[in-house]
Amino acid sequence: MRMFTIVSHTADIALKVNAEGLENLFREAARGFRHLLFEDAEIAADLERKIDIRGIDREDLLVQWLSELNYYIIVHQWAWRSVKQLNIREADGEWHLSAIVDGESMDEKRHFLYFDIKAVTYHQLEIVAKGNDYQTQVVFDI
Amino acid sequence: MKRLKYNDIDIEQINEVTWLIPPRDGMLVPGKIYADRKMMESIIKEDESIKQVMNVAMLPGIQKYSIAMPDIHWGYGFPIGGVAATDMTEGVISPGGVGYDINCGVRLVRTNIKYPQIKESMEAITKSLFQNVPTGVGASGAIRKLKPAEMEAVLSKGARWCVENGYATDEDLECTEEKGCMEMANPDYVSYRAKERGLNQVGTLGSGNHFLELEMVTDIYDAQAAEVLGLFPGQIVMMIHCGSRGLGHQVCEDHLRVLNQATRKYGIKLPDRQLACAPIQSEEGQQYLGAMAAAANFAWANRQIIMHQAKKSFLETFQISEADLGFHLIYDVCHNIAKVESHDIDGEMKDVCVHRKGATRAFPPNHPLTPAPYQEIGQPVLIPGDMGRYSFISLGQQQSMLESFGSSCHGAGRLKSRHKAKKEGRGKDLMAEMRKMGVVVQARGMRTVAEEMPYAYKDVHQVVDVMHKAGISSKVAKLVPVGVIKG
Repeated sequence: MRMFTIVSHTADIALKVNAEGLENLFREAARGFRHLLFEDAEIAADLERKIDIRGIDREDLLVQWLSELNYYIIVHQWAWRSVKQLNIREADGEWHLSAIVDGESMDEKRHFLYFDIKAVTYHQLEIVAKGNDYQTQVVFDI
Repeated sequence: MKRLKYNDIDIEQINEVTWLIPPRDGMLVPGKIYADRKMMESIIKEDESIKQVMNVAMLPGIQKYSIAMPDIHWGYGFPIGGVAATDMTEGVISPGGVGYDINCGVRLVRTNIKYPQIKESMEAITKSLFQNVPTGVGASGAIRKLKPAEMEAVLSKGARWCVENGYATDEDLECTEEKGCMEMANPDYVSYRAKERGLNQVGTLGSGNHFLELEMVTDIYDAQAAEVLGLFPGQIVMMIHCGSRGLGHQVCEDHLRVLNQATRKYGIKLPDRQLACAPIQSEEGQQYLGAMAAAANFAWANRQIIMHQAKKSFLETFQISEADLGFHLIYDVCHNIAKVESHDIDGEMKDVCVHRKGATRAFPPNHPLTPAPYQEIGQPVLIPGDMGRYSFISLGQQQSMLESFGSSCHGAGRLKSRHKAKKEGRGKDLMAEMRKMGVVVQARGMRTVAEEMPYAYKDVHQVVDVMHKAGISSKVAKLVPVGVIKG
């Protein structure tokens, strides 16, 4: 089941995400981001990548996470299919994320990229938790 | 006094086209918005951009006013159309006042060609331009991929690198803001990733609202100035709108991350983290300025090479000599930038850091930084509209130095979201609709065309008229699109 919605802004586009638990919120954000970029295009799992990033808080970590995925698309023309592992921890006043994602090199015939994402923004970005129910909205500059 | 309400705030009208938000809730200076009453009413209804003008007024060291142009709309941190000057010793620099697309800007080139001469060849010329100027998401390969050492040179020298490599002339530099190079650029502060994103993107348009347009001069409002600019009715001119591509986006992203930490480190309280900033004189502030200037240089090289590629298309398609083509740069302006400039602060000339986010420099006649050919008329201000109606050339005027830190408007602004515009275009032959308007369009996908249809944008004429009435920039000519290249 999809736990994300794509929201249209006047000049840009946003992704609203709900999930149980912070780690699932990050997984679902990656899934929504992939849908925003490729809609339902099939992506194979030919290569795994390990991602390790840090943020000053949870929101910053989410921006870094999606920015990292965007980087692989833009520079390496590599699209992710799924998040195989994802762990988040807080230590020494910083937030750390380590993940393994799989995917494949983009093929122009099968993977039409719908948006050129300039950046993942901090605009009104807030991760809200009610118990274990997490939700957020991320705005992309396009 | 005439007033309009924004939430519980009284916005005062101080003349036909200027509105004032008195300082409150932590604002260090008043907010000032240029708009006529009708525009102001819709700005209030439309989005939260007025709140963003108020947020900018809270930046440490801000001088005189937090300003917004009539094309104001919702942005990240600063509103689009926002201008703010900060004190060089006590003030801050904020990437939110520049934007992700550093030195996004507009370049206008004139030709000797009249539209009726090439009307029947519009398909051929636009196809050739579409081939020579890569467009679209991740576009690459206008010229060979730069070697890392060449990238360093582009970042340091900007359009000057193009002269050294045969893509530009000295005359082009004279007609480019900052002569196409910000001296404060420091490529060492541009990350490996940013350079990686830029290596094969020099000379590419990208996607979204970026374009290359062939336009016809239809109306001239100031004959004397038009003559100085080399404009005449029926003439074909070429307008390019794009910026620093992935390199600039990455520079902004990288430094926003650093400045987010710096904001905490220096104990700066902000209402929006997209306004992340650091004191100009701090290490973090200086590093951002060095990287931003390098990205700005990349953007000037980018637009210069696009012009070079386009010239090839004209020469090949029409088989004419360079002299007959008369391909000359009128001007190149940036509308997303921060610059150290000298302005009148309480009767004294003082260096300040002027942030222009979706705003164009508009220096008046006789200003030392107005290019030599335009000393008598003022610096050209290039204002693109949508791809079906019109764009404008204006000239900077004296009032801009008194009121708006030498700044004017930059464009039309969207009226409808991309989603709404796409929905409206569903089932329609959009290329045929554009042809009915007299415009031949070449694009990579129908989706971009649908998102960029004229009905998705506001009328830029109203924006230009407000600046004209305010005495900030005066109208010279109207340009109507006849051929468009989109991503």
